[in-house]
Amino acid sequence: MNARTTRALALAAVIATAIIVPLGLKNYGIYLLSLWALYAIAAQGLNLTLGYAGQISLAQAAFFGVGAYISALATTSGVSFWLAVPLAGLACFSLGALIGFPALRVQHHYLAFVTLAFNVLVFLVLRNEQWLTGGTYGISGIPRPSLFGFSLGAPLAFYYLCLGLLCVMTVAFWHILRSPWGRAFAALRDNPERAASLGVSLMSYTLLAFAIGSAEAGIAGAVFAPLVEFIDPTPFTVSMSLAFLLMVVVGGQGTLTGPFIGAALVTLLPEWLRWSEGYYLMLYALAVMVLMVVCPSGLTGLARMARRRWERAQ
Amino acid sequence: MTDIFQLFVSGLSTGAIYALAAMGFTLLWQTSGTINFAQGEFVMLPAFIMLAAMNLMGIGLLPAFVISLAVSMLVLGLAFKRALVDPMTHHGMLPLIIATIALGIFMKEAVKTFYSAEAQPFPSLASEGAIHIGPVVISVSNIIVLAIAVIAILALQFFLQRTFTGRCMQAVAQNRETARILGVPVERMVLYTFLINAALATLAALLVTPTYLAKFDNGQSLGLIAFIAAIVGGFNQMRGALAGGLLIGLIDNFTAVYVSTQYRNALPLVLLILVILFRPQGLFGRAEERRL
Amino acid sequence: MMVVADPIFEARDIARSYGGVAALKGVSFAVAKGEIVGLIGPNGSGKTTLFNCLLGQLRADAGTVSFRGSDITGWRANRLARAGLGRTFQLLQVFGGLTVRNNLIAAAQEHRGSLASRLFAPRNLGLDDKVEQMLERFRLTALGNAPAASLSYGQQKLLDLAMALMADPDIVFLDEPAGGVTPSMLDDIGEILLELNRDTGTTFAIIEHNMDFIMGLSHRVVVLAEGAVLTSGTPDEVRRDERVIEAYLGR
Repeated sequence: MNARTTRALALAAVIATAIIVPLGLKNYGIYLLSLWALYAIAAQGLNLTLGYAGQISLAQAAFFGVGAYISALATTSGVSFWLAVPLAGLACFSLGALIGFPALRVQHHYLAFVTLAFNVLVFLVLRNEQWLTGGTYGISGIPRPSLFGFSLGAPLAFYYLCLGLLCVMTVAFWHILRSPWGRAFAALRDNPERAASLGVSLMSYTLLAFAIGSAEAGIAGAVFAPLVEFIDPTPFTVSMSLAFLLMVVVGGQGTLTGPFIGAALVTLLPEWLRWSEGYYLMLYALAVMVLMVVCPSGLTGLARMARRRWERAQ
Repeated sequence: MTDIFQLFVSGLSTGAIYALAAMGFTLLWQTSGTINFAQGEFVMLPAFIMLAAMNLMGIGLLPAFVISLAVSMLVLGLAFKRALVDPMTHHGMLPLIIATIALGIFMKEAVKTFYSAEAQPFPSLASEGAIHIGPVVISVSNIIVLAIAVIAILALQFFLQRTFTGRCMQAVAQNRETARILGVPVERMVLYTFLINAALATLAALLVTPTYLAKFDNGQSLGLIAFIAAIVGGFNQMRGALAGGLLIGLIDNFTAVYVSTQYRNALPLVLLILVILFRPQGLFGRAEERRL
Repeated sequence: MMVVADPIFEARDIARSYGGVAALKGVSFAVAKGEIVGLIGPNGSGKTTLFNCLLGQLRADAGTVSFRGSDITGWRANRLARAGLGRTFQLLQVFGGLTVRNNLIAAAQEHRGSLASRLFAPRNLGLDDKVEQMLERFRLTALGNAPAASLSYGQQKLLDLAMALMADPDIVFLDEPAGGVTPSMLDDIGEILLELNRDTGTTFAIIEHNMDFIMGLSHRVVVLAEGAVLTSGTPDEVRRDERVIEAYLGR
């Protein structure tokens, strides 16, 4: 069995699992899986910006939040969900390009701070502009969509919506990576100076990397709103941006499967650690530190190391 | 007019504390390329160590400070460097950023779990009094804080510029490879910066906690301000961190009075974004050569 | 100082200082179409700085640059590349994470169509034939699908050169192409450059320290010393010029 067939079979198995598992879970479990799918989309976007184009962004939560608010405001005003989601994506695409501009001027460490500051600013706006966002009171009663008259309100149906969206976004992401754009991003990440000397417009591709990454977060956020049915500014802070960063790095940046694994870890680990009550965040933080020390290239790096050792032993 | 003067003094006083945190942060970055996202927690933790020492051992503030200094330098200086920073040296910035973020979370949660989630009062160095110079009223604690911070900063500057070790540290900050070739014990110098950062953070804790009370989540806002101060001032110069800290302190105090409180926190952020966009080397920093 | 009639590329009075120290003091430098010009000079004379100022990696403090009659002063590197100027760097730079073939495609893909169209264009943008041609010319065909990082230094050097030529530039600036290369590979490189110059009329400006290599290759040599042009002429003239010998030895 060659590598290609193995990979195809693995993919089929994963998809099948994703479809079947929730059938045996209670509502909370299904909710977690839906959350995982949406976080995976946002992490995937960040993976493009960070893992493939080499640009650091600590603002992913801001776009997730903006997407959520656009979707919430639209759908509670009667606009169709199916219009609100692409709208959120478009808005975040434009906003994300804006964030890209500082990236052209400064190096990585500064970029981390600029995006961090942007995230805090967005949070402040969401919290203070009560006339628009409802301020700390948030927006409630966010409706779940229906498709061709078929309601997607039930937990299981909504989960399949999230899963479907994840598949669509992954296919789109994969297409981008395989296209000339993907090659330009890789060149940009590997060696920006050389890339520029060969005609790669650093400006265009950097802005694109931010725009696309932010758009994915916006789209995920737009579906997050009806998932939780009530949103307020609280979750969309730097802590969430850090969580997305964690997902990408822990999962393995610059890999296709990284975001899925990272999102699963970050979403599910706190749940598994709930038995430790107050200590779970501490254990979680400790686990992350240990992982970074032991394997800085994330879990897929760990897997790759393991596979190489297994291959050598053959 | 007197109000402005009073705000100015208290602004400088707050700013000097920010400067301490910002200078330690900048020192770490310059000599070892470490961006410590847990810097805020580095200031939060010593306050609790002091409280614990005072409550458990029944000692006064100053002995507690000395103990906290020793513990900080050991844990937040030496252990931090050896356990977290060194193993990640050749893997780029990102793993270390994530690790320090996780460290910050760990410290925050540890204090919340093992000490308290409630804000704790912290003894002040000075009495509650105030000095009257004509129509101007200046609080004694402001003056004492400012004086102590200034002394610490001057001592640091003296150390860096007038002693042999200090100049070695500066050499490492300028150009690691050259310093190594010249025979400077680079690793030891880097260790010293970690120790100094821990000491500065402890001092900052002593000076800032009486006003804001000791709380496990103090680190977040403090850390952000330390970053902003360091960058706005000039990330590649110690002088810049000092200036940045004072500036942010002044802005903080003046906006509290003259600007609506809702967006008060936004001003330093906007300043940060503007500085990075239009003058990335900071207001007082040297321009880093950026290729087209 | 030889005046070049009808130059394809001309730089005038390029000056550049670093914190008070003048690395380039008003260098003027012209290249005729189809020429191979060698740029030599002792270490620290400013050769690479000159290239960086001409090709968008650094901003010159003063001076103008023109290409095919149009002013290109201050243009960014990627704009220059798309206008037909190629270069290699002194420090070898290939895209380690991409395969050799993808490195070559990446080197030319930005010249095909617009940014938006490239999202939906076929993966290799119809460059396959050209890629195979290049692989053959540089004897890298067997390594086509290997990751560039796995190539030996010499092979990467060839790849680097191939990448600079993929988009059929009118003029190519090479920074020490002979650096760290085995003698046999050096012969190959020399052959390839001469072939290209002869067959397609590609103009070359080459910084080099290897005297035999550069003298044997160039039509004309320019000598840089302490940030200024010392002299220029045919390889024989320059080799015999006393000032040049002094510049290299006298310190």
